[in-house]
Amino acid sequence: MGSSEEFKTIYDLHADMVYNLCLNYLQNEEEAQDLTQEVFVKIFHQQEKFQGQSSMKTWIYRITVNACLDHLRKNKRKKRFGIRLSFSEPENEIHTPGEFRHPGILLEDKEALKNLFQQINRLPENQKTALLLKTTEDLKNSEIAEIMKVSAKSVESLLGRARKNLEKFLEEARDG
Amino acid sequence: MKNDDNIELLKRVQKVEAPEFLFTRIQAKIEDTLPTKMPLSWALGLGFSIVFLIGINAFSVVNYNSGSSATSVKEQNDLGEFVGANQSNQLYNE
Repeated sequence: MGSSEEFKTIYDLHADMVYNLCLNYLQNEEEAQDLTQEVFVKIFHQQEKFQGQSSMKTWIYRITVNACLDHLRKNKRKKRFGIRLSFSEPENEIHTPGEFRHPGILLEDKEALKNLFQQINRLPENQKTALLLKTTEDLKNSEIAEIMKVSAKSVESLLGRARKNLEKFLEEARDG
Repeated sequence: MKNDDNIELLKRVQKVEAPEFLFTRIQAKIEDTLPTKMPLSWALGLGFSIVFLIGINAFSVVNYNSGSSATSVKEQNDLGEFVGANQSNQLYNE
């Protein structure tokens, strides 16, 4: 893989997949676009490292998942230290990167999904990843296992825990 | 909301197409990250400049070393006479 035509072909085949996965991780259009860009630049530069041990699709999924998780970790660090946009802002106002803006969500589902995603965002990284790949990408457990480099049994366990935690968080949100 | 309902709700999230301008942005970013190649004429010019400088320095060093020591001593004596310096090694005038 080296020519620009080949790269364009790869982009055409996988851009929507990458973009939609980024949207589901971040729930913000602009951030998803930036991250999709980052993923494909990485693909371009790492194409020589791709040795065909997994399918191209699995490899790209893996790069996308790692990029999304890195981005979320960076955002968490920013929130923890609190970024002030200017010194004239009150001290308790902390910049929250990325408002909820997902073009794939119908208006009638917006509030319910906004609430659901808020609780999904509280899940541990591996549970969130397994859940999103299963539900929004409709992948089989074996495919998820290959992407996450774990066993299929681990994926089953992660999904079970993710669903349990999600139910708990949603109940807390309803009661709180 | 039961778990099944949650999963069903998640499945209602629709797939969207990546924006068309994204590929152009990606190409631009790739070009930015590629190492820049120096034009051949620049490389040749730089090479000649370095060789020239080394040559000049070498020439100066060679000339300095092989330059007449008598000339430099004569110049020092002339300067000494001019300022009225004592050219003798004797500390005391006897």
